[in-house]
Amino acid sequence: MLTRRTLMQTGLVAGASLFSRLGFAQSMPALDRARRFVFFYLPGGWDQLLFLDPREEQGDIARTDVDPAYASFGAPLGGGPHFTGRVYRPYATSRDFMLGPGVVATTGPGTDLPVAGPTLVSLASAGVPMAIVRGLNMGTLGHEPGQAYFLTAAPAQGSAAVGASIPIRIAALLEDPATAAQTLTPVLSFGLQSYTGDKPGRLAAFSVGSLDDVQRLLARQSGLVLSPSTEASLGRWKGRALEKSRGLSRQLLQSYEGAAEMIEAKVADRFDLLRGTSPALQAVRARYGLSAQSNPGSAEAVAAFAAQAVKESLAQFISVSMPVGLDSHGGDNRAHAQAAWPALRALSLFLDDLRSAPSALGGTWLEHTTVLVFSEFARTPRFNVAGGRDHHFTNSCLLAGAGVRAGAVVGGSSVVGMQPLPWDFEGARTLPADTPLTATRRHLVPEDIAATLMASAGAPWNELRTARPLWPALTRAP
Amino acid sequence: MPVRTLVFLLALAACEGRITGPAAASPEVAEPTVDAPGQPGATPTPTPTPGIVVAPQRALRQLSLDLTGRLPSEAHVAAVTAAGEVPAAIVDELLGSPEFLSQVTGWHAELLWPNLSRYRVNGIPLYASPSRDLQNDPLTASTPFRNIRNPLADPLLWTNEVARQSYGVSFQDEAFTSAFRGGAHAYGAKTCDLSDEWEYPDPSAVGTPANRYTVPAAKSGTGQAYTRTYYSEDPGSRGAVLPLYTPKHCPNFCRKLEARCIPITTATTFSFDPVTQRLPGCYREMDTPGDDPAGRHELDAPGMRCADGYVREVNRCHFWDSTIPGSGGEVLPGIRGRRVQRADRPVSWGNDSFNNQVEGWRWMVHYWSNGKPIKTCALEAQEREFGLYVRTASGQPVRCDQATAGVEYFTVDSSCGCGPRGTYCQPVDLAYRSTLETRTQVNLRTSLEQEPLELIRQVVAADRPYFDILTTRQTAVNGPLATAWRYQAPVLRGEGFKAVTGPGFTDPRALEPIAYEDASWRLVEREARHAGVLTTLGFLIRFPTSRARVAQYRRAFLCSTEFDYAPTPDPTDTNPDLAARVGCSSCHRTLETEGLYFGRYPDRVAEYRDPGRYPLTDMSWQQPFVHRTATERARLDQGPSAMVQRDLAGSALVSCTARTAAKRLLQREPTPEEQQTFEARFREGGLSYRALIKAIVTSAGYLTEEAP
Amino acid sequence: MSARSLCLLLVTVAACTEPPPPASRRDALSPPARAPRRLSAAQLHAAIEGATGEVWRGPATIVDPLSYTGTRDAPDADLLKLYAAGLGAPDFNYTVQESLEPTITFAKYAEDAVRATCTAAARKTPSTLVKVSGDDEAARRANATALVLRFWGDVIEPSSDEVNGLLELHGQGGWAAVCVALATHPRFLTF
Repeated sequence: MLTRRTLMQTGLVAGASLFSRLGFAQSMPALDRARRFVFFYLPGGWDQLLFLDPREEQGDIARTDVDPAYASFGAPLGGGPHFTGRVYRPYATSRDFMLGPGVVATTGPGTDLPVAGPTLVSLASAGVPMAIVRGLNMGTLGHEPGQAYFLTAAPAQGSAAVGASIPIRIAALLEDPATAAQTLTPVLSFGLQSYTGDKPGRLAAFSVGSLDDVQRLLARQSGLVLSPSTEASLGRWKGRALEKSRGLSRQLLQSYEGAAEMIEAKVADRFDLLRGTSPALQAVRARYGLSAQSNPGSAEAVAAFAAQAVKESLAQFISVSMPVGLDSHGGDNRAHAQAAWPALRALSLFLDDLRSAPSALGGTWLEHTTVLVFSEFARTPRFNVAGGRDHHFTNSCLLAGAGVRAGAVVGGSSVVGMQPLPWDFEGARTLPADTPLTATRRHLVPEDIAATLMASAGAPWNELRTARPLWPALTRAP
Repeated sequence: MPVRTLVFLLALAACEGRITGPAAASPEVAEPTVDAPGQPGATPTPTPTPGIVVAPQRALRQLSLDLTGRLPSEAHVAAVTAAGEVPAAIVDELLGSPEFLSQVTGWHAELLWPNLSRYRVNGIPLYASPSRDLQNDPLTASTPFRNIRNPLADPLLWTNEVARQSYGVSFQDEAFTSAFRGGAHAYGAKTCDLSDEWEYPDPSAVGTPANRYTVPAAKSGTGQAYTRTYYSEDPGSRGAVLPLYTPKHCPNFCRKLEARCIPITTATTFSFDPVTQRLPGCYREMDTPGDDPAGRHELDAPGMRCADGYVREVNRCHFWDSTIPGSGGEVLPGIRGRRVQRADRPVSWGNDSFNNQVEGWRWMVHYWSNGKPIKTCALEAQEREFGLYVRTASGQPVRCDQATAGVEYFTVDSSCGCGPRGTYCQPVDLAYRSTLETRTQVNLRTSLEQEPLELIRQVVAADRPYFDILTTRQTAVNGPLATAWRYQAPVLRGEGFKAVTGPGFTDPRALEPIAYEDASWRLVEREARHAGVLTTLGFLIRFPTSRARVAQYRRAFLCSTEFDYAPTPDPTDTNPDLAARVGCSSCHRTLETEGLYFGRYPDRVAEYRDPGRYPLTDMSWQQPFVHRTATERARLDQGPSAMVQRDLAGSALVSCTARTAAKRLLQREPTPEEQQTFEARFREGGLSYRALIKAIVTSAGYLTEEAP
Repeated sequence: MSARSLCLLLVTVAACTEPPPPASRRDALSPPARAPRRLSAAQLHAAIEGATGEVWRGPATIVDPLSYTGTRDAPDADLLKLYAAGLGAPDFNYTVQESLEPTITFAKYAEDAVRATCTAAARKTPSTLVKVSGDDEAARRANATALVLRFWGDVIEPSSDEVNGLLELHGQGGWAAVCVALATHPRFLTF
């Protein structure tokens, strides 16, 4: 339900008519309670020169302190995918939308021929809406606080996350207690911490670390099931306890209810991705290149699970940690790109899957799913003495799918030093690095991403205080 | 790369915490920025509501769960029911239990974050004896030994940049990679062929196959009767005294193995030197007269015999045909040769000399193998008392159990093998499961993780002043650590590529021997420079930079919030001194100046730079501190314990410790009155941690709960 | 941008975070109540074992550095220890504090553990769930009361509604059902 304060905020943004010259849509999206959200986390900190914030030219490194070193892509040693040194611009009409050399693996050294299967570039070229936010100031170079910051849209205190995770925050805004739940469980977290904060226990994450966990959590072994009458008595006992409970006790009892509902739904078979015999699961395996022998922790398996969770309405908010390690202080461009490639390939397969999967809500699932791809920070624009890149706070993230304006780019980093550039929220443009900062001319921060996600589904973002959605520069009405 | 940039990048890399807000910008930096006790703290606390006193049995449950992690015993429940309250004796009993100490270490784990799995702690002598049962399921490929993970698999270790800087070569260069077992070709290729059905024979026990010849050893300088055994396909070599390398007869060949000239078909990688009549890349001529100042044959050196009295010439098959260029232009023996010939078979060289020689293996019981013989590559299976290559400054051979001391691991004497029971070695990653650890790696890593917690456990158990954990010279050791310190310390590595001197025992070999399997812990003395948990190797590796170490110390023990908030940097300010650069300074003023206390433990290297070798007068090693004043740099010599002692003179350490414990147990911030009381009781108790916890759990606020 | 404007901005931002409650109000609540806390993964393990005398064991694939692949199938793995991360235990790598969240995952694993251990405990002779033996209702009420004390640390009246509810459960599923009910209750899971 929209509060008065929300309406005021909404009006503030929608009334910014100067966007009209940019051709952006004017109206605030209606509340989209059925919107699905998928959060892809790439742990370790990614090199933005390779992915979302590339440079077209090598430039004068001594002046810029930025060394893309794209020329270093050669024949990889020890196997692994190949990359070219080129920058991709899939949206022909969008000058800023560039993807770095790390997003497309090629069939061999020195060739531009991409490997088989979808890539972010081919998907964008085929019309999948994607947008980039650059120049995000993470304000931290520690893995723990950086991760906590992006997960919660609130700066960590020490390494401790503050408040609730973004999915749970949005879930609380979109849920409608008066109607049936959109999905079996609201929030699912695969390999990631989740924070409930002060939100209701029914939104607490269904957190799993592996596909095996999924099977264990969706079904109860027969030996652990009591007689029907005993189960009924237990249900009544818990119901009475719930009536009398509050605070943490209530959250706990709600979690028990949530767990019971998931078991009752009897959907475990639908997520037995590697062994399931249904035609649907066979098709999933074919699409993602999986088999019964596949590593259930591979990027492809994780992405296939995330897609399955969307398609089977297991959860409305799905966070997955991709099984890659990007914290490569010693690896060069090629090593870093190789490390990230499984995740980017799996992400591409995921997007390709959702854009062709018909949704129960009409259209395809991608039309109802907003995807955020992020890491806790970026890597330095220069190499260290070990030939690798260290932690750098000028981050970027990728949005795709529902509500995303294809080819949009918001924010940027400076030519010199790759520092975050201030963003003019009113003029929807980046500003020179030395612009005095104000409330509406400042660096982009993860809070703004969370606010953008909320706004794109028509939800209020006022709980994020100083955050402002990148609406409508980045997103559009569904 | 300009120095300025380098410093900048390192600084960025090292800033593990959030950059602080300007409120923390104090030039003195001794006192941290903290939330005052009783004020909103790091953890948002729910709005307090008036509490009611918890019923005695529920209070006992709470005490038991907090202090021992368990439900109360039935005897305690009965005693409480009888008394109508929790008797003080029960609280004391809980506080005196071993389970309490485990709780305490658990609480401290949340301060010290003991997980090194990301940091790839590996021992240097590293070798490849897989931990599975090879008797039944031999491997077809093994990864090796002492040195080294494959440089390609471990870009952290060997990169072009490091190689260029250190050796003037890149790792694509054959001359460089040949220092690694199998060279560049070894990646995924066979090295020591464990699938071979033949065990590499022990020369002391081997029979006389048709091609086995014994010749007098002409070079023995001691008069001792000595013969030399070799194998050759060439009957003409019978009775000959054969130099290992005869360029006169083999001008176009690199290797001369026994009686045979070996054609080198990969000649492009080597060029014959007409002056020295040698080919770089050929093995060292270890039998050349005059190598030993005493004129003795090298193999006659005391201790070069094996324990059973035989001289084992497992090296006769030219293990060390590879070399690496030394810094002074000299040629050093490579750590690992390429291929080792089977002793009981003819040498066979094919077109590609890299791939046709096969190294043999032997059964060997290792210190970690629970008495089980393990197929072990022949090179590792050596047990010399003295090495063949590494010499002291006066030219004396070095004992193999000391061969690693004081040297970089890449000059470890490879002829020492892994020593008796493989003691000098740690199994390294296995090619077929490179992301998993071997048993000794697990033991070493988990022991390093546990070491600081064990030190804390013992300090708390003995009711010693709590802050001994940050100042004491002592540390805790168990079997795996004692083994590592005694035999492997100089060549252990943390993250990075330098030797570890972190353990800091004046003479690790003087440590009481502890059986490898012994999991119990005991306290031992380290050098005076040490500072409790702050200089344990585990802490130094987990927090790999001076800045990270200082930040963690201040967060954990001073309740500092100064690194919590990030100001916006000013891109136009390129001051290389982060302590002064806009946006950075608010955090880095502290990190740079306080980090100096850790400055003798360089970033990402578990090494200690002792004042003898690295005096303050020598600026060459102080590049990271170039922007600091001489007064500030004096902290380098004072070390972390001086930092803690300084903080002990103030109130922050006591205050933070009391507050942290109170928050954990009260589930909220202590009130100012409570904080004051807890601190006072802590001090009155001689800074006994137990006294502090007792003060908290016996306070009125602890045994309350929200009204229903 | 000057340092001064930076400071102002930061002060502004900082001021927007959680405002401190008025000191006077805090002081008035002395001592404020201690908030309840969810059992940690280790405490849950110990509490279930303490209450039922049983450990939840079952077949699982476990990490074993001695094995060929690095993992092996164990017939009787300690499952709650295996699932500790799902229960919130930190690995001190990316997670450095115990998560005491009331998640669905916690609820599922905790309940499975309780069901397994309660059933096993009820089957034992004598059962660890029978503190007061006897077939009459008074004995059952006394036993239910004793179990409440054991599981929750609460002293309740044998005639209370709580005990009535437990006896209904006992009628359906014996002491195992009572055990499950007690050990899945927030009174057991918090302290």
